[in-house]
Amino acid sequence: MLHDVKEDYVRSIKKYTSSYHENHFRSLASKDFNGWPNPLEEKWRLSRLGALSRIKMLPIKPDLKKVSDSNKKLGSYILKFIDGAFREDLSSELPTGISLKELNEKESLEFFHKIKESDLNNHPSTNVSLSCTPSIIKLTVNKDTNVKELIEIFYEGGHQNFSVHPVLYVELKENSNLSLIENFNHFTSLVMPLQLTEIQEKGSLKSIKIFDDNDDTYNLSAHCALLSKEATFNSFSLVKGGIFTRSETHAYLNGTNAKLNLNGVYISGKKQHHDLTTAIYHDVPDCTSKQIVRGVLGGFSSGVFQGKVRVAPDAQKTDGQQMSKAILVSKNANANAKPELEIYADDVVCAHGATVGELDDDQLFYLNSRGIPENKARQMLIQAFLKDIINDSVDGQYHDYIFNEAQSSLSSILNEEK
Amino acid sequence: MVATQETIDKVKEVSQSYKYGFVTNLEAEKAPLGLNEDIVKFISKKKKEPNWLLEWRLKAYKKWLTMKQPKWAMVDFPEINFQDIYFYSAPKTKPKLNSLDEVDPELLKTYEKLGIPIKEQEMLAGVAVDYVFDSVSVATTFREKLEKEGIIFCPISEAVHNYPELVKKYIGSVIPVGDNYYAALNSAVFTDGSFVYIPKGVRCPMELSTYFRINEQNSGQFERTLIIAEDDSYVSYLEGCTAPQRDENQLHAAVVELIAMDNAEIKYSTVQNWYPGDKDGKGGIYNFVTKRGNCLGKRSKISWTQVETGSAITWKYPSCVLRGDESVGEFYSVAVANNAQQADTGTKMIHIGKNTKSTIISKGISAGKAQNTYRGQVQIQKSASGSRNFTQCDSLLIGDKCGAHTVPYINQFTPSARVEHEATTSKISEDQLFYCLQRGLDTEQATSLIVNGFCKEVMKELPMEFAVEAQKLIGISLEGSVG
Repeated sequence: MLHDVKEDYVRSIKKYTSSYHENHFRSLASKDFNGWPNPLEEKWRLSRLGALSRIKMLPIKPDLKKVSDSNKKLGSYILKFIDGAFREDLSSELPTGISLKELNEKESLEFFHKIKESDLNNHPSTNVSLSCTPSIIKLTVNKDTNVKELIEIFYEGGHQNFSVHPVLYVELKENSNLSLIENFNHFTSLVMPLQLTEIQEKGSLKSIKIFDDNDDTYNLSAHCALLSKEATFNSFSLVKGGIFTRSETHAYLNGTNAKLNLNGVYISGKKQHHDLTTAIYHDVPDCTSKQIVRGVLGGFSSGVFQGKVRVAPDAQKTDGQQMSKAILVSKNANANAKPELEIYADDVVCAHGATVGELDDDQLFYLNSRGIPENKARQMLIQAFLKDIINDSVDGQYHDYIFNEAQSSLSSILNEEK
Repeated sequence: MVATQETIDKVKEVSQSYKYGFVTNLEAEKAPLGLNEDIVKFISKKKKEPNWLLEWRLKAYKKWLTMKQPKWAMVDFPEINFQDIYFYSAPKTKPKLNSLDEVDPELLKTYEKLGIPIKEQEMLAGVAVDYVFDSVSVATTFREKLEKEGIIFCPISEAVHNYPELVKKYIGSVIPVGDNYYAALNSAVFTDGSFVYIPKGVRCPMELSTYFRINEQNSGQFERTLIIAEDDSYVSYLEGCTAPQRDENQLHAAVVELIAMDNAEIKYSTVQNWYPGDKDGKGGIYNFVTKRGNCLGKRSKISWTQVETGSAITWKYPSCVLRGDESVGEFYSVAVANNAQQADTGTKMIHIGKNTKSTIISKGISAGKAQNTYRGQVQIQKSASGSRNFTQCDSLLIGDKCGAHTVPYINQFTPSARVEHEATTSKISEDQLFYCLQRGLDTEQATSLIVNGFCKEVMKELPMEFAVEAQKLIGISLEGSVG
């Protein structure tokens, strides 16, 4: 019986695309989806989708009349995706120099090929979201445009027993820059956001993602970033919601002197499973990549960090650094890390570090001896542990906002443990 | 730094060639080519084994038939044809000897060529050696002296007859027959190996040592080592490996099982120098080895030290299962890969008991076109509260055609344990090299010196006579990789 449910979903995807001709990007994408990855597959060994195959699901048909239920507002410009569909009626007009459009069939096919060339080619979100997305939305920042205001994107909607498929394409032309905050607040069984980011020469993108979907939502986010010469990409993900959230980012450093920061925090409690998976491909010389990931795990939760740095044979003078730390605050939580280096060039400096454990006894003692009670001391240290990386990763004006977002989840986890 | 000078001399002495690449002309008795149930029975019969062992072998063979060759390691080699291998090869002048004087003089000459300092060792360290030649154990020295202490050190084929209850109890207890593809193969066709039993409260008075050598063409070597250390005992065991130079690839699939009871300590050191193949990767040994230690008792300790310089392909993960409370696991490794060699090696530390500790120090050196991978797992199970792990794996790249990879897995299921992992990859620093060159060393000498310094943390864990040899080996292995 269980088997049938899984088969049903695969069949529904194929059915969804059956009306398109065989070279349509939707048909091509659906052809490659044959069910959820097997737990024996190395990439999915630590984050298993077994439970997903037992949920009876269909790809959602967006309800274009649905109203937005979020009223958080940080940025001056708002873009909204509801049920995976872009809602112009609920979004702001964008400032000059930025344009937004829906890709036509030909452009969508090009998009499909770009994603398929990356290592995300067989990610379930690639195949399913490209089959079922309402449309691929492209955000372009023109050459030499310096966008001062923050653009805030909200992904919402969904419905129980439905999957949601927003697909976004962000392109920064030469010498432009942009700051984005993306919020994932779905109320659905499964959401599979797919994103391609292309940063041209000297472009600079700052991106913050906050994964805060509903308690029983699965979020399988797939993000591919392509960096040209002297491009900069600063990415920070805060993973706190959903029952199962995996944020997978693959970054290709294709131009010399490109710079990448790929940081993240996960805060997990109850039976949540949070996974930050990254792959960084240093394909040319003189690029820099840095990754810092921290996690706090309570309840019966599990956390995963998988990071791979691959340095191609001629990518000399590469500097690749990775650091992951996880703190377990519950005896029923578990943390897993797999920081991986794959290096084929000799003149490189690559390093990774990973630690898992409890709070430092010495630090606790220091605070205790100054009259701060155990619980309070723990809380302070964990806050500091997170504040550190948040301050490092995001711009000053958003510190408090991001920290408060983290803090709200942290408090509920620490309260549970009392 | 006498040893360093010696390294340099040795490098000059052996120049480009593989020192151990000679063949000994001994007539050998072989089983028919290939593998089937009859071969398994043949081997068992040759060894006059009891029925339970034959059954055990057949069980392993049947399991093996259902298994697939593992593909996850970062090594690349053509499919092995198991029907093209001799699974049993024994020197025909089958010795059943008690002292070295009775050994075939030609064999002894071989050992001399190998540079095993038999005499020297007898004098210097009093090492008891068990030689495994192709598949058969030839001689064990110092047996009587050891027997006085109650220590059993003999070929495993003899132990099967003389101490069947011990062998039956422990064989396959750490590595079950179906553990993995090569372990299953070994369980089905293993021919000989060493058996060590250290009784309660005994500190083994000398280092125990085995030398393995594959001699016969197209033959595989499948030895099996079983070491049991009872409560409060201690043993240090050394293992060395060489093989002649041949164009074809030869298979070596060994299984080593260690069992440490309360307060017991086993120190297992390996210097592996199987023939690595020529510059273009022709020939060489496929070294697919399963090694695992079980720290069964409280406060027991198992320490693996390995210097891996040989083999065309190495696939080896000496592991510790830390079952006893406060038990300790250690892994110190230097893996050198030059030319077309491929090494995928590392360890597993499975923490089960409370307050268990493990340390992993791995140094990988790649040169030429070689690929060197560290793959390790540290798992802290829920019961292992208060446990601690520290891992450090450093890789050194010499030349721009080689690769160095690090794949650690950390799984922790208890909050009160601490796991730390750090890894770095870099080339020899220009500053260090400049410093040495400026003082009159040439590039090769300087590289050798720096590499030996890079490996120092591991080298110091080796027993003395091995440390010297290992240092020489690293020099030899890196020959021709600079300049």
